[in-house]
Amino acid sequence: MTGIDTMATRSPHTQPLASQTGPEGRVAVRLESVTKQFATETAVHPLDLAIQDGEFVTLLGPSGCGKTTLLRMIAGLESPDDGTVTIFGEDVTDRPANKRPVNLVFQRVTLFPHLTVAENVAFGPRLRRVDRRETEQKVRAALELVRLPDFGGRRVTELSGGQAQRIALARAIANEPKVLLLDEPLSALDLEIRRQLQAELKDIHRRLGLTFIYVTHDQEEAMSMSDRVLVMRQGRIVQAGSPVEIYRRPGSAFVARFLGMANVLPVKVAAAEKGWLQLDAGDLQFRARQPAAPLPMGQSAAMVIRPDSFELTPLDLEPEADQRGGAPSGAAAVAASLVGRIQDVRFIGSVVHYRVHAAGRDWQVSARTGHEEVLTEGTPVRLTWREEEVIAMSDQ
Amino acid sequence: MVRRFRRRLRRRGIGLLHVYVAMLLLFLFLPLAVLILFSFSASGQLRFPITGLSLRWYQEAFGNSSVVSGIVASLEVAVATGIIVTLVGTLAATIVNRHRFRGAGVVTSLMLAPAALPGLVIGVALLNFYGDLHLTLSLATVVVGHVIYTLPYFYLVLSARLKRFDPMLEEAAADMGASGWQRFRRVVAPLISPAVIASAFVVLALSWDEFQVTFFTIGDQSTLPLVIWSRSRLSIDPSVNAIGTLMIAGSLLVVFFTRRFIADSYS
Amino acid sequence: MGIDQGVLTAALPRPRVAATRRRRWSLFLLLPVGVVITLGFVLPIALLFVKSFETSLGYGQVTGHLTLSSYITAVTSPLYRTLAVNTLEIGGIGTLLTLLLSFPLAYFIRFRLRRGQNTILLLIMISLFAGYIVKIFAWTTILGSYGLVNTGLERIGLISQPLGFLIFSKLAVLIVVTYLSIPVSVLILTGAMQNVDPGLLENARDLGASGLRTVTSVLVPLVMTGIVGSLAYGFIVISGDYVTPQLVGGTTGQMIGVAISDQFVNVGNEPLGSALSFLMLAVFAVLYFLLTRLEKFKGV
Repeated sequence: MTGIDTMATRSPHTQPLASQTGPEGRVAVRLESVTKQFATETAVHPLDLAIQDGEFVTLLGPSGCGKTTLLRMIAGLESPDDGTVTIFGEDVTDRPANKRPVNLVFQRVTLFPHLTVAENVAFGPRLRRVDRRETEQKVRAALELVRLPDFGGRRVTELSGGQAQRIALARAIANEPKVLLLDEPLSALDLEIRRQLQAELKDIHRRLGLTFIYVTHDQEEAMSMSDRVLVMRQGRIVQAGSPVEIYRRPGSAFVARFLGMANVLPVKVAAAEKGWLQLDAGDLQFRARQPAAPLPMGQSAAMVIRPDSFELTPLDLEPEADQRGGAPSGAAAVAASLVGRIQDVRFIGSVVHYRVHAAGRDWQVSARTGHEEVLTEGTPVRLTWREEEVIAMSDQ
Repeated sequence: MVRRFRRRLRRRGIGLLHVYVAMLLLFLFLPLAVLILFSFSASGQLRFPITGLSLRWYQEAFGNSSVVSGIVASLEVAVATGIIVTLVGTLAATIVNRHRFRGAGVVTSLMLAPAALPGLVIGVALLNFYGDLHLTLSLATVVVGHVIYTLPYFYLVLSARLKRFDPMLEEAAADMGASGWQRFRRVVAPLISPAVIASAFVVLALSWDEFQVTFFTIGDQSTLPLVIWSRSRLSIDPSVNAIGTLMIAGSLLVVFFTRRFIADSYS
Repeated sequence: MGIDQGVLTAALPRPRVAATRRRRWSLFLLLPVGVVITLGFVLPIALLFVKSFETSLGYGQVTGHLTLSSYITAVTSPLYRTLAVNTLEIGGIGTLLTLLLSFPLAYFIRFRLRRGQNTILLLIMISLFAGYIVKIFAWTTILGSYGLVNTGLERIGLISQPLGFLIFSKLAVLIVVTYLSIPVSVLILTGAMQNVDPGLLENARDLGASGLRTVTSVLVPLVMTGIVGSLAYGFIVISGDYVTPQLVGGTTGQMIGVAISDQFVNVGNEPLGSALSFLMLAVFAVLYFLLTRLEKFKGV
């Protein structure tokens, strides 16, 4: 079976996969039924995973979700209790880390303090007894790639955090691995440097065409750099797909909240027919499309309306007759709009964030400024949305 | 008036604690000062005041063959002990420190156990042991005693330093493709050698100075502390002062040279 | 590799090859240390223990007959009782004195010195390695009838006769053994204090604690491990010292270590010497137990 596949039917808690959008080709890394247990907890539940050659895949999740453990199992620094790890068709499950064609950029600075920068970068080739001239070439190429061509003679202690991680990257690349693994390499750095290095990493990925497997808990980082994102939670992959897919259709309340989405409501499925759901949020009813993993009737679930999905109109602009309250009279009537008042305004520049209180809840609404007036606190407003924009999801 | 004086001192930051510390340090170095002083005294009687200065005790000390052979013997024992303890102890400390396994606690306790006993008991046990085996006592039997006595301290000092070694460095080396031996040679060894050297010097110093275990395990050849002991038993021998001063000078030199390695643990 | 193959491999249990291999290799590399400790320490101590139950024929001879007579002699003889009491006295007082004297110095080095820390510690190390015998010998010069103290006091006019009790007495032994164990005690305490954040002490002062109170309530509990270490080390070394009593102890300052040494070197009664040794170790064991209780002390 070529093409990406992630947990098909094994774990009952997971969503079925988004369709593969990555490049067709060979499978770089395949994990089958990989499990890892530590004394007190299961770090990784039986897991299947396939990563295509040349992809930039990110394992995204909160700390403790097993993403680093998974990465280390690919690197060979941890052995799975069960299951197999295959790299470009070769079963490497029993092979120690030094015999695998992968390299890892660690979270902490792990440059060897007793060697210079050039000696660090040359470490891998030297081990394999590559002749000196070739090694020098590789070192030079790697340092140029990370934009630190003159740093060869420096001592490790003289480097800043950003420079050190760049050298660590150069060291890994100089070793010419088939897959590059990165374990939150930017988490210890300042925001600005992090942004800069994210862009550089993406650029290097494009230039080398190498398979990158990245681990992070920063959803912005994951979304901005990856071809595909695998969201993990408590040892399982809970959603996989391109950044756009995941953003448009988060499969669960967990993923939605983790991506920083607002307006997540717990609901119950009141009715389901012909691909549409009626969701009961207590005093309000909403209509939404059935998600990819269908939710049966009576099931407790969650829904999201993204802040940018709302249309916001001040009530005083409406003709008197249409100013009806948003709270429906009967439980069965689906809300078509909500009426409320602006509580808070945050003007960011091109975007303005409103907090609107309507139907007993606070709603985050964002709008582009452009030529429209920025509304003020206290303004009564009406919120409308298109039913397609309501995202139903599992509440796990 | 006293109060004004105290206030002036207090302003300079000199309080009761400073006075105490000065006095304690004086106390610690007083005997050594006395020793050095008397080593240059012309008279053979160790009483105050000093009447004249001379180097005769140094001449006597070095002219005496037993003193010289004592120094040689002490050096031989110290070096032998140093080598054995460094080899055995480094192996043990690195393994226990880097691999978590169930026997670790037991191994560590056993290795540190000799430090829980006075040198007397270790010496006596060894003497008894050699007697039962009908072994003649010699410098070799002394070395065994020194190894047992110094191993716990070597292990303690080295373990403490090893804890600072980042295990991810070794993982990074493995990730680069280094085999176990390559990792050791290129990454681990260079990084732990300062710690190993510092610990080895501790062993050398302890062995050089050792008396309590040596006393029971010595054969015909005496180490320097034993020589001093026998001389001071027979009579009040002023050349002991000279020998003592030389020992102080020796330890000053050693500590000065290894300052780089030792300073690390307290900075 | 299709999914079906994957299912098959998943069904078979996979042995944890790497982990067991590593463990076996580690155990193998620990062999040298094991051999050294067993042959040089465990075995001799065990044999000594056995020896304590033998019957002595004098001059190192023993019969195969096992008995408790050595232990009984050790416990009942008035000579050994006196020596034991002496030892406990000197050991106990000496250890406490060492701790009390060392603590302020360790505190000063750790919290009050900015740049001189390493220098002072080095100096203390030098004093430590200047020669055990040599230092005891130096004290005879200081405490003797014509020594520093006496001639000094005579010169000032405080005394007309040299103070006899300064040398060859229990006091002399006490002074010397305390002197000998202060350097190590300072090193142990300073080491323990390294991990204490000076901010904690400042915080206590800020909350209103006096200097002394800060030390007793905050610092002491934090360095309790070091204090216990200092006490344990001090007591063992002082109680087991058999050289100092011989050189400066006279008749009143003798300790049990001398008796033990005597049995092995002069008298040839190994069983008795061994019994005395193990009784001493038993006392140490009690001390360790008490000290582990102390470690949980939270300070006044």
